[in-house]
Amino acid sequence: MRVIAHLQARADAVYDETYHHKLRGRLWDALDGTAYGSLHDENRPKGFTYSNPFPPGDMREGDEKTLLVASPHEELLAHVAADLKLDRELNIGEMPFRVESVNGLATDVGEPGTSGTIETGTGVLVRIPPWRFEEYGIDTDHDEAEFWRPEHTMEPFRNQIENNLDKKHGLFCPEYQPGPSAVDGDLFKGADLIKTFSIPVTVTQGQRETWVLSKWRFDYTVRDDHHRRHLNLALDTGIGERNSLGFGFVNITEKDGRRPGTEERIDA
Amino acid sequence: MSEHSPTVSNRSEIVFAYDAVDANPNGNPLSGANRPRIDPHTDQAIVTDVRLKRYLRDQLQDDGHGVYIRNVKEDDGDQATREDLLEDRLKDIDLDDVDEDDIESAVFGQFLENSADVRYFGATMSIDMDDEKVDHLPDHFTGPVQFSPGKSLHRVMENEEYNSLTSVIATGDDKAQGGFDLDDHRIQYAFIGFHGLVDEHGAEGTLLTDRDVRRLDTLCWRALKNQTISRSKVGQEPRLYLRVEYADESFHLGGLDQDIDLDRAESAPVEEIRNVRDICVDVSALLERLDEASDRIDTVHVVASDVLELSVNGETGDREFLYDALESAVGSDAVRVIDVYEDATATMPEE
Repeated sequence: MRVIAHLQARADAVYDETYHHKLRGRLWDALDGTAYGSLHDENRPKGFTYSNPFPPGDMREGDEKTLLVASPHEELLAHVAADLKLDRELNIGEMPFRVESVNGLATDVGEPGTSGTIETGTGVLVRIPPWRFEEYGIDTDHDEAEFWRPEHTMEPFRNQIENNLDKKHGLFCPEYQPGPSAVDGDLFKGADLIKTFSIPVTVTQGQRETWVLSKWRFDYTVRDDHHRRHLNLALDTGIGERNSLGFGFVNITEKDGRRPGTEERIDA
Repeated sequence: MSEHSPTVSNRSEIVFAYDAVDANPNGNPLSGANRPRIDPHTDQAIVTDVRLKRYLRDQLQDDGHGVYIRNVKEDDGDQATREDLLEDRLKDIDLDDVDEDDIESAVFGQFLENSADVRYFGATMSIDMDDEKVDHLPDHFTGPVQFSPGKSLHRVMENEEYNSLTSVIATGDDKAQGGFDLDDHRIQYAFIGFHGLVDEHGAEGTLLTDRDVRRLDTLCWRALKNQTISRSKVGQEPRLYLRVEYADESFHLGGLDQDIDLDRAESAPVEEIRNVRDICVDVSALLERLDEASDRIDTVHVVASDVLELSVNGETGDREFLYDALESAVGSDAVRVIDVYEDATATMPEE
């Protein structure tokens, strides 16, 4: 599930592509003092992710943008929503906004048989650990994790995404249900790489690194209830790594209209 | 539907069970804070048949079947009145094209063809309309499909009150501190059983067909999957659906929902139950009754969740175990395991 916040620019501003760290700060502030505050220091997926303020681009005072925050934890989203309503001023670095409204959204890829497309709203971070280099035939002169790039082929990308979602499944879904790697079939039917790009990311205060990210369009057809749960988990937690920095946020952009009333389109 | 579609010929009795984890399966608006309905004497959770039928109607509507009793507020800005809805149901009929003797059956058939929910559950036509067509409809349709209010098989515990998203959002944007004072009430876990009946005689009154009943086999399941994704309803899953289709006219065993119970020895203590893995459902009494009446049973249509544990006379197993036990009780030819999604496709509206 997710929270949708409608924002209005309070001043003319240049769009800051490196907004992640600043926006993360506000969200952690919202969780400070709650049961989710302690997640901050734990070395595991945090269970939330968020979009960029979209549509991206420079803004004039009064322009409207939208922000989505997703999580499998309703209570976590309630804290974020309450914070955004309590303090309407949302400053993401040099981008000053006022929160005009906050609402809840239920997202669902649809029941078995439904086809659709999921797109990454923000860049996906996939790092291939050095102990997998040999398996994937990656020849490098360093022993640090390698950012995924197209020349590494789809296999490591697919495996890392699935392993990562497996880990989240273990954390956020009932333990008696099979995770993505425990079922037959791929998470996605097809994958279209839109682009790869690199940006400077403030990982923690004072530590800035350049990360290689990618944007994707994934097609899916829901096979069964397990597959539906896995895809919905990806919508709630994001795909790939560092989702609590806003990476790997995904949206349903198309869903077959076999059953009117069940479609939900969000353009981010 | 045309006059050539035969209505339901066999009576059916339904047992439908679903569970709710950290959810409010049926709030009571009269309680002030929309608290879950709980029997004050037994502490069992209660879900009205109205709540269940709302899920089913919403699923019918999503599937593209006509639905008369709609949650009109949910239509995109379209504040349709009951009169508008009725007019919409009948717009395809031009009375000038119909022989006078056939008007009544034409209006009757058209309305029911476009109102799947009325075919199942009936409706009261308390409409004062200046429309000649409406005069040809009866004041009341008695639904041949009736569900009784559902109850949990065990006493339930309410969650600690917390500040849920529903509460935060529901306070409206004008109140800057909205949400913090609102309470949210949910049940930690409830395994809820419903009883339903499909009456073959009543079917004639709403033109309910066998195809409609076949659709019901998937509708209950899919409605709980698809219509519970809003925040207060999330956490509910269908667990067991069983429709006993009888061979003899005007016969049904009755109260089959009373024949399923928690297997206390195989389940966690009720205060510790948090999810479906903590319970085992005893279907011994159900199977015994079906066994005794097997010569009066045409088919048992059944589907169970892949993670539900069941027991029969002390033996436990999963849904395959249940299907085998059913075959032993009523004969292998008399058991049809429902393929929910294939059957759903087969009973979708015709393009």
